Amino acid sequence: MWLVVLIALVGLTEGVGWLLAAQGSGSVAGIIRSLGRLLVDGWLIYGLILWRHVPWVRRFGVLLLGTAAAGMLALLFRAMGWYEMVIATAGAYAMGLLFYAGLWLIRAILSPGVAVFAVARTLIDEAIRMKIALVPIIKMLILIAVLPFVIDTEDFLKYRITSFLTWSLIATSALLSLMTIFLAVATITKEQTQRQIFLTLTKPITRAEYLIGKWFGITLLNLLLLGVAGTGIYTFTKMLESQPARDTIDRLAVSNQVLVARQAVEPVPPDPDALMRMYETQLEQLRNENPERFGEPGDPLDQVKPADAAEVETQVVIRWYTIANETWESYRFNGLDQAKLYNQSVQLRFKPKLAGVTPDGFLLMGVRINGRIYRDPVTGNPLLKLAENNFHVLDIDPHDIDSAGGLTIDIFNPSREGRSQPSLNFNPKDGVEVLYRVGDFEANLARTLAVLWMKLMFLAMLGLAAGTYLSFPVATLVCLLVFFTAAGSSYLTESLQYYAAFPKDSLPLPHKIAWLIGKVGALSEEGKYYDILKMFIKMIGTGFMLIAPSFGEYNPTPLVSDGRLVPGQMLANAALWSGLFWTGGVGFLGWLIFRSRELARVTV
Amino acid sequence: MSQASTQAVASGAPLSKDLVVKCVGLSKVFRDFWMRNRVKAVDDIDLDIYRGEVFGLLGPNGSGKSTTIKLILGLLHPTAGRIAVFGHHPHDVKNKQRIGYLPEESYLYPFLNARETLEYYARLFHQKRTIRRGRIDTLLEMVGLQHVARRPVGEYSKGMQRKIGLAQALINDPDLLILDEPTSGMDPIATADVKRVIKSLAERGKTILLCSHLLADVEDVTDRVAIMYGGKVRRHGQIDDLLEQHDRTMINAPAMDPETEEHLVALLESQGICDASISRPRQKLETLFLNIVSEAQSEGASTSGAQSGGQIARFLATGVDETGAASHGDQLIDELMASAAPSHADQPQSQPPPPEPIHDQTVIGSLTAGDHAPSPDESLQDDTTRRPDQPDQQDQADTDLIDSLIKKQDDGQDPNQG
Repeated sequence: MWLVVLIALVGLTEGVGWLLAAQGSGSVAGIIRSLGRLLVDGWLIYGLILWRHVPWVRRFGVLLLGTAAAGMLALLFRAMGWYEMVIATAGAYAMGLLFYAGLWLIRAILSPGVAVFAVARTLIDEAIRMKIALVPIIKMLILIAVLPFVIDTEDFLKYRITSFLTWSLIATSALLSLMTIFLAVATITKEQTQRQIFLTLTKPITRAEYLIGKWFGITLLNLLLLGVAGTGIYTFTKMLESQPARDTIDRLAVSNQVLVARQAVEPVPPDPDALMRMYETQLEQLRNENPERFGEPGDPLDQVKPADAAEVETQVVIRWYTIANETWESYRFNGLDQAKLYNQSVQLRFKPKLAGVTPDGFLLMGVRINGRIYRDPVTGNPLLKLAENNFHVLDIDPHDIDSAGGLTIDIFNPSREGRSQPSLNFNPKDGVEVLYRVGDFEANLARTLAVLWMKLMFLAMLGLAAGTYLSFPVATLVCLLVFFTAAGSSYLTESLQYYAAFPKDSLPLPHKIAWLIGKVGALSEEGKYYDILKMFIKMIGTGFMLIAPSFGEYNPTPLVSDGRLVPGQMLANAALWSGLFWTGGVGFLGWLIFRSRELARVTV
Repeated sequence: MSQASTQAVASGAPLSKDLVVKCVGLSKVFRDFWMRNRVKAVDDIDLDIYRGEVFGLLGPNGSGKSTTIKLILGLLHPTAGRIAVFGHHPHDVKNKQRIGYLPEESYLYPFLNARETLEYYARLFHQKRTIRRGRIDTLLEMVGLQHVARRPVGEYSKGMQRKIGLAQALINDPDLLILDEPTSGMDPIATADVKRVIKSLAERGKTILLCSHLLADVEDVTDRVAIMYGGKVRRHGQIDDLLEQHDRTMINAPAMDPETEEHLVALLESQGICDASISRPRQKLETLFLNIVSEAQSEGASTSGAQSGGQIARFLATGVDETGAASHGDQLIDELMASAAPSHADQPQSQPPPPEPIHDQTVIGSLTAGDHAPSPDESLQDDTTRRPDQPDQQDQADTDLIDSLIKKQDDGQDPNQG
């Protein structure tokens, strides 16, 4: 009946409208059509209310309500002149829509009668309906939508986009990591305390399947949320990109240095034997100064301890990156064939530092690219005046790349206003490098999200494994400890190195033990008990760092924010180590505990 | 317990075709944090539960009933002793395909609605979409919750949650149904519905382990019981044997006028039966209550709670799945019936027909023809496990005795003479 009335209303409205229009009464036809459409809309809404108990009608109704609410909000913001909020509302709506549709799709995928799917689907329902996951999800969606508008609009567009990418990815990673831990721990501990697990595990499902189902559910939810976050980040990045840049260079920097995937090339000396010769000279000098440690002058080069040889190498590399006043140093960058072939943009990126103090924080530097002097694009000056200790980027014409696919860049340290400038130096790690385009921002962002997903897979299994045996608060604390250790693994490892005295890594284990015993004895004789305690703390910390996964090795956020390629190797390593080995290992441990656990056990 | 059967339990080999659950020397001790023995919840019990019987596990709170059930389900590990369910270890996942379990509390997901709850458990049994949808519809109708099927179960009353709990326990058409306090929190109507379901399932050859301290409910439906206290089984056996008072006789007859009553008492006294008395029997409060509610329902009075349960789900009643194919077990039963069981028509005319519950006539009557004929399982049961017609035989014998006594006295004969 409802459908008949709807068809009749549509038919009447359009029919009468056409008739009137055919007779030349366009305005009356317009009024009739408007009225008719209002009636049709009203009747549709009545239908939605009438059939609200039917699942697809309810879903459609929610979508319609959400769209209407977003539209009205956007109109309101537009009327108030808050145009940024209009875009934010549209972006938030797009993310919400994707989330809703994705959720429906996942539920549909998990609908077959498979026990693992049943557990996974119920977990997703739990995450959404019990609001365990909903709060972090809403926070994430709001944060991504609002971030573009809190970034300083006076700043260079390049830096605004970089900041947005950095903070939105950090927020996404942090919120999803916390959500994953809380959800994984809560779902398994709550089911044990509230005993829903009694009903599930008395059905034909193994405990391994139960754990896998839970993990699969969290992993799918994370995939959806990363997809939603990625859509939001991409949308708002594009929105920021469309905003006015400070100047042409700023605009070019956005497209060539940020919204791009670039490969970095580290320099080598143009003369392959140059560093070796420097090494020989350096070693000879050290042998003259300290023959006991480095050997007598004239001894064979390999007659030096590996640790001492490494130290000499480091000194040589630092020297190579140091340019004295009124001297040149040449750096060769190979492997740029692709950039030349496809005429891709190439940049020289460097961070110059001076060994002494400058009056204004600026330095002078000359650059020659394959023999051609580089001039300041604004002033045309061959000497570049640059802020000290900051990264600078020079655009290089890909045609400058020679036929061997390389670039030789000479850097000159000139005098300044007739006075000698202190030595110019660069950090050997990333002080001077050439970057060239190898891919798009979109694929790079997708790889970044994929790496995050691998990390979340591990956290999900960690939470579940901890929850199989520990109570909610204890399991959560354990997971957070592991998470923060993994996230800050590189900083913690570095900090531990300086925290207390400890035998060198190169020492064999028996020597280490002997060293430790001797050190403890010596410190206790001196009454330095706090130092002994610090040694033990370092020992525990080092052991923990060895077993905790190193998330720091798979951190794609700085790369994508800086327009650098997130390498496939990083993704593969993250998949292998975080997604497979660590997840599998922790899951296996959890299963071992869980399989023999008495679920109805009462501790009296 | 013979040595051979103990070994069989230990090895997990099937002991007997009809033995569904076997526990030998079963003990469970709960320990404290320091692993010191604290509570002996189950203490060296032996249990045998056979196919097709309703077995009651009775006892006060803390007597070890629920712990025993959890040991049988594999939720706890025995401290000592052995358990075999369908001849296998309780942890055997394949075994669980044949088990339905209703715990003492309805441990349901509060965020799922009734339909989603049943969908979840059906998926755990790997049921296909069409089959599970059909079963869920019939189960919801059976427990009278189809009109609130889309409300989250967290909003349900305890009784309604118990009903959904019962429905999930039946979703797989289990061969062994374990019910822990199934009627707790239920009103008398729902309780009667549950008892009706239990009886119907038992008639279908299902094995039911019923654990309760509501003795009246247990008495109505069980064949055998074990009474536990302090973790031990204190008494066990056929419910009729346990309850029969061997030193009393009850005469059941239509209402008599006072003169006949006096006449009868005098007659009994003349036989040396001095403490005989006659009184009017009282109907059960449950029966009175159900009759009143039934009348109200027939008058169309409305209610916001659960509706009275509908007929038992077809897949439970007939053993025929939604594709129309009889299960393997049913085929087996049918074959056995055809070869061993006498048909209804072949039964002696003097045998009274099996009793039919009054309030179930419309419900059970709508089930398949198989329920009107003697159930294949009844034909397989020996006399010691199930005797549904025994009370009627007793009634008939009592009436015959009274008739003969009165007739003989009227004829001036000594009733003791042949």
